Amino acid sequence: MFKLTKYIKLESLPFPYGKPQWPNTVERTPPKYALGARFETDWSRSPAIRAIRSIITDFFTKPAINILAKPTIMGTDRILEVPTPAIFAANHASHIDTPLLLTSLPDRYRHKTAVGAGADYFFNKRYKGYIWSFLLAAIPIERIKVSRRTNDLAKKVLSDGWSLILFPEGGRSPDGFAREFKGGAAQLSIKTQRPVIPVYIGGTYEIFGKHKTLPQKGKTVVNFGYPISPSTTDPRQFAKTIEAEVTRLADEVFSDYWSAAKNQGSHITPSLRSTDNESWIQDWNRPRYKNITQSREKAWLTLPLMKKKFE
Amino acid sequence: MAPRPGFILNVEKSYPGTLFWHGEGFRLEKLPEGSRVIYPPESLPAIQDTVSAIDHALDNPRGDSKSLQALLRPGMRLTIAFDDVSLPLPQMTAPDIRSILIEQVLERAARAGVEDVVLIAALALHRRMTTQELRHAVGNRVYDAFFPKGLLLQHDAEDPKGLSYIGETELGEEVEISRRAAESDLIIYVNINLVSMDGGHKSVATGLSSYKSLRHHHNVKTMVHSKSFMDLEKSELHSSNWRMGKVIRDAGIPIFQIETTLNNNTFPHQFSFLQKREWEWSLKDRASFIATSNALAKTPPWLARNIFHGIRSPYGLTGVNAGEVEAVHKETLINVYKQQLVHVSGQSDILTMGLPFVGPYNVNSIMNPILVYCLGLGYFFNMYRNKPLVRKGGVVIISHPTRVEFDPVFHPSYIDFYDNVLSETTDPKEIESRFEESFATDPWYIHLYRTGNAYHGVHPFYMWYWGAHALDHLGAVIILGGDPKAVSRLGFLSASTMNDALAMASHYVGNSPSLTHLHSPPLLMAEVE
Repeated sequence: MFKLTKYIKLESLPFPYGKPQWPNTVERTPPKYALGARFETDWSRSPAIRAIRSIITDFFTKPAINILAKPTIMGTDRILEVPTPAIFAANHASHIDTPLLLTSLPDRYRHKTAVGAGADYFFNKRYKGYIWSFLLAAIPIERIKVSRRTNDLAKKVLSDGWSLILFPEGGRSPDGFAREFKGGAAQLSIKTQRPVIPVYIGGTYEIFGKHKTLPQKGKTVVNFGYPISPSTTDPRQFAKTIEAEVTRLADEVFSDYWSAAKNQGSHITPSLRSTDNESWIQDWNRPRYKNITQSREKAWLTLPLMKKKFE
Repeated sequence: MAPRPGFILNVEKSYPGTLFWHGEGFRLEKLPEGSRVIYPPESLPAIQDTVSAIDHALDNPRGDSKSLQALLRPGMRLTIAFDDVSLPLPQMTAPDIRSILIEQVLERAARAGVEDVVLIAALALHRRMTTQELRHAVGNRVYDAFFPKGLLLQHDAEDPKGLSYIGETELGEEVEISRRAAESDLIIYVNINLVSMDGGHKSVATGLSSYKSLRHHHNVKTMVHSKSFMDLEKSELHSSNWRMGKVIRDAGIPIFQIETTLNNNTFPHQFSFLQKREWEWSLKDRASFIATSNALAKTPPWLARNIFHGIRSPYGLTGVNAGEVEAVHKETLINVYKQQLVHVSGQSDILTMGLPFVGPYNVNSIMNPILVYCLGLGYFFNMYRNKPLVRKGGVVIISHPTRVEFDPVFHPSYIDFYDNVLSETTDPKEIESRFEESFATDPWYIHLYRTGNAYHGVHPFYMWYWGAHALDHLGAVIILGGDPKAVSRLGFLSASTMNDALAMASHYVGNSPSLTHLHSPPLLMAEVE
């Protein structure tokens, strides 16, 4: 997303053009509105807002995603009988993962699914909180530490019958490789005894990875796996199981169902994680969801980027 | 509310009429007072968690079989055979139960490190399935993983190198099955049991066999002595298959049978009136019946056919059993009967039935006159236990348009059978002795069967034998609303209205006959006391 503030740093301008510095000796006044994890999102799950959001999702977001990301949706037959609500746990490489996954969900989930979004990133400003909770039914999730508030909110959302999309990596991948799955989604599943549906999302890093300023058209894949019920009380162990399932779903996309099943049986499923951050060869060989539409970026759009690169 | 069992209506004055299937359309007929209409039991509740039910079945096998996990080992040759497109009818909404089962089997095979896996559609002499049909049956994931590598095959009963002679039964019946299956360390058969005829030893002994083997039970003598072939204990067809099954077992070919049963939820909600008793039709049901039947009356048959064949049934799973063939089949039959059996007291002089657009052999295709005969006198007539619904010398009235239409791609030999064989005789025994061999060994039909999507050359003969028991039993067959030319070629009588048909029947059964109507869909099986 193009950010003007990236180029014009208001804080760096001298007072009174820039923000005044707060004296350390003076106690800060509490913020007027609750932000971050304290941001109130109950209103975004009310029937009226849900109805408006359904229209936006079906008539705006979905067509837009279809044009931008041309998703191939696989495995929906595996979640036909899963009792709602459920927790969708996916790998995360791009901002478009959320709308892509939301619009790929079968009808019975699509309009009653909330999204766990980083409290520090999506809810640090009031307007951002309103936008994301309105458009995606986002709820604030603490990424750094496990807070009681985040936990209670997620549990409440599930107990209200809403499914939840969580990205257990805790943020977008910086390089296209997945990162270790944290225990948040697993812990929530264990506590609420709701099944986790593993999801592999492929191709989104190439379209709008962390390094990109503007999205580039391409093709994506969303592969849903069989639901996993929490069989252990150890969130770390369960997170590993979820990660293994997502990895297998990726293998299924890049090879085929039977090869992926055999690889998992023999414990040789190719990892989604990077083992050597320094190696260009590994990055070169990273499995990419093919069929990326190669289109030249518009010169005027790339200019600010290039300028930055050569600075 | 618990599903209601089958019901027998005694027709009286206050009665709305009875719905008859009429090919790609419907007829609403008023039956004479005193007639009986047999309604099938309502759909049983489906198992909610299919995957868990399958897991349970695979881990807790029936009979003396070990669990599937215990049978799988690295380095073994595993063959997974599955029923072809003739089951279920109409095709299921995705995911097909076979695809879910096959995936669960493959998951276990992968965990056990079984590399050598081949999937075979057990076609016997049926046509090869089209790509879309195969994909639907096994699911996208399995299809994409196995088909491109040549590991998803369709059984070829005419491939001399692909067949293996196993031995013969004590009655001299030769047993020949697919070589790949015969040389496997384990055959897993994935079955759908829509009617009680399916499954058991018939799965492998028929599904993976050749003409040489099939001719021992697919013949007039066997079929006339199968009373009925839907009743395992009184079916000569099954006795023969069971003998063959024992030969296969004695040859040391292990079979792990997985059988599933489906409920009666045959049509999607748009056609819910088809599954209800007429006096319970709501305003919506009546509106959709009127709209559908009027629209169909104005629709050309080819379009109506395409619409109907596009229907996918929301069948639900009522049971899944796995393990040793006979023990599994015993459980399966209990489930089938629980869904389909209706107790009926006494036979009647006339049996009426309406035939739908689809039978086992015209999925995505035309129901030609020979298939109409087979569905009516083969399948529907035989949906009984103990004794037929109609007395010896009685009359069957079948409602179907019976057009002289054939699918040249799927049914090439049927065209010649209709033109050259039925024009000479309709007597099954004569047909068998005079014509069968020339059709069965015709190289062009064999070529079309092996390389195209054609039924084997001998298949129309089997269709004719399928109705041999009914022909032997009945005094006359009347087709209501059928093409008179086709009906007379089949050797039957043709009537344009129900009253005409009843008047014609009175020549055979007297002026005040008793009448029973087999109300279908969904399927039912009559236990006649």
